[in-house]
Amino acid sequence: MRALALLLLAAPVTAAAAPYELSVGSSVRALPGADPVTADSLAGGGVGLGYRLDVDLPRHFELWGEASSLWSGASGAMFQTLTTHVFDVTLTAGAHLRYHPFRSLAVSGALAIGYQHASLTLDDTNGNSASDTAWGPVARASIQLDVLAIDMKAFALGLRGEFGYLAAAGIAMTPTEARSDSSDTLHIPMQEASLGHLDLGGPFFTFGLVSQF
Amino acid sequence: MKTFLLSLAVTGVLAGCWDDGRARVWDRDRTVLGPIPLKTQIAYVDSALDRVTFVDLLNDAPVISRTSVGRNAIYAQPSPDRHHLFVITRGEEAVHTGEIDQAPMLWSIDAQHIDAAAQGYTIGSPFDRIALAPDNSIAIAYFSAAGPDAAGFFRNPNELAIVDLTQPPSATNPTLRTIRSFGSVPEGIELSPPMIVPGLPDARTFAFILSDNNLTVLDTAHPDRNEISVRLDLGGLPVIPREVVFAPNTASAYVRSDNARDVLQVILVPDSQATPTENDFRPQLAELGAGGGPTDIAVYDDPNGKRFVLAATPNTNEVVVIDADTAQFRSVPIADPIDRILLFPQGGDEPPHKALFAAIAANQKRVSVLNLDNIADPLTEEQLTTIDLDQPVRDVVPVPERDLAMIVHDDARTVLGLLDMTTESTSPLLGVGKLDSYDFSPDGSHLIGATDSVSRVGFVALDNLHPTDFRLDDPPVRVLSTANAKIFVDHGDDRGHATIIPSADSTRDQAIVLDGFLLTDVLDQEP
Repeated sequence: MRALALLLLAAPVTAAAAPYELSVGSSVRALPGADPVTADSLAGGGVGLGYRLDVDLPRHFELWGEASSLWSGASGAMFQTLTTHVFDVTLTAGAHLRYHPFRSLAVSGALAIGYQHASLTLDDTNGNSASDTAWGPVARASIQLDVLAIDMKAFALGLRGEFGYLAAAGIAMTPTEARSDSSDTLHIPMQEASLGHLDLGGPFFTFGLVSQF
Repeated sequence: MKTFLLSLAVTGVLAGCWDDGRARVWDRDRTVLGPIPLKTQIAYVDSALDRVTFVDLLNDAPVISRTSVGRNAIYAQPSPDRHHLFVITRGEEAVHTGEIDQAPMLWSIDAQHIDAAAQGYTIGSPFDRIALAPDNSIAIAYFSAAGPDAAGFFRNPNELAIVDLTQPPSATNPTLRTIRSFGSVPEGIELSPPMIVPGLPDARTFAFILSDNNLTVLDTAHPDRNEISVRLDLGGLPVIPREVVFAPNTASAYVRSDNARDVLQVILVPDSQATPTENDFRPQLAELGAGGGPTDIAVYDDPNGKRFVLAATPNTNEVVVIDADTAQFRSVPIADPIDRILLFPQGGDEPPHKALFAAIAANQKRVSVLNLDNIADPLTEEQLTTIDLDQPVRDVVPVPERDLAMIVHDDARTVLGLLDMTTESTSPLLGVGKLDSYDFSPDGSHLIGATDSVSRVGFVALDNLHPTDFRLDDPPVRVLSTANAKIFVDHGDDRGHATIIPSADSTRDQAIVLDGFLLTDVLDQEP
């Protein structure tokens, strides 16, 4: 412990970060609450934007505001007969507190809230297809590790790994069959049964590029 | 670029390795049994979700409800009065996480009290057939000739589970029995209505177990007692019992068999009981003098309560009217090889006045009608009328509550005829396609039909034969009529997709489509 403290004290002063941040990468999110529709995890990509907030903090600490968009999808099967497709777009805004003690290395803790837009499609073996889409709130907490290949005062570029948990409210899903007749067709009134609540929350991991400028 | 590709690769590997332990329930084989028509409900049994979904059409708005049954349903059958549903579940062995040890069970569900839990009886073996007493008091689970599936190590095809449905499950209910076999296995089981054997104090339900060359009689009130085997063969062709009709007032049954010489009458009479395992009755056998290998039989009581058996004997070109009490018979010559007998009017308290005869296997282009009034009187001339048709007869179906019979003229069921038994006249009906599914309204006012290639339901008003149809939004797979005259059209979707038409004269805006009802709240269900 003492050695770690000495090491921290002896560390070189890091460059003050540039005010903007852009991150892109791919992500994977386990879906423990969506087991009925897929055994797979959600996989996809995302992009994030950050802005360094001008607040007084202890040395090596920075506070960043951030907004991110994440899109991901998964396929699966229910009972070996119903093919399922899940697609999710998550939009969040929040902040991360960044600790940057060494050049080329930074650790952040992030919190964000937002909404996700989930869509679910079910296809059966007879060619019938039903789908639904809906919005639901999410909250995200994560830890980020930045390893920077370039870490200068005005510009930084490196890799970011992020591990966290996305908590999502179950989204009520009522898949309905698409009716293919012309738009002026008068259909028989339909009463749809709810499939239940689709929970796309779970632990996630993202990995990609981060740049500050 | 390399970094980005590296990140994709890392994420991909993580996605492949990140196993969140999906419950096996979501990967189970799923078979949906149904739609099964009950009184005012339609039932579907889901073998993966282990539940029965009921669509109740009693009120204007359909009500969907569910009840749980055991693991892996393999067979379902409604009771004769359509108030109960019986389901056999195969059960499960706990081999993987999430699986449970559960024995094969028979579930009795009271469709009038869906809120009550289904009553489960452990039946020991995965039987795949159920025989039910007409009064819902007894059920016997048994194996079909093929058996349920290839699972399991041994299968005893002569094993039965006799369930007293009036009693809760216990160590003695059900009773598992293996019936005596002479090399054959049960092809079917018929349970009698409660019959009072003269001299015995209580009414009992008897099981008649049909197998090649054998008829086995079992007293379901005392399933621990010995069964009684009746050999049917005479050393020639195998005698295969096909049909049993009961006469509960005389504690007798009439058995028609392929390759048999006559109709076999089985009269149950009292007998002394030497040991507790012996029966207090015995069958008394009589061959009713059809004398020509009966191909179909029908039983009716005349207005005086006298019981008669009608038997068609193509070998002698006759139809025989047999007095069931005296075995006296009267032969009515008929040229066609008759293999279908229908009595009119059907059901109700009124005795039948006419019998319709058809030679379906021979594809004859005519049917015959016999007036049954005073037919037993030898001084009365028989009144047999032959009705010539344009097309061969492939099937004859009685219309409920009406003196009408629907005649099917081709295998595709596109050409139909309606025979009015009162006027003995026929009217042709032409369909636009194969009649894949049809039903009659409960009062016999309409024939309801559908073909799976046409998004319509067709109606024929049987009073004036006026045809109408109802345009659906999706192709139908099966059409059913409930006891309250609502029409249920199943569209064959694994999620549950059906159209409910309130009546034959409803318009489209009065109908309703139900969608997704078989998977209701499945995402909220605990595995």
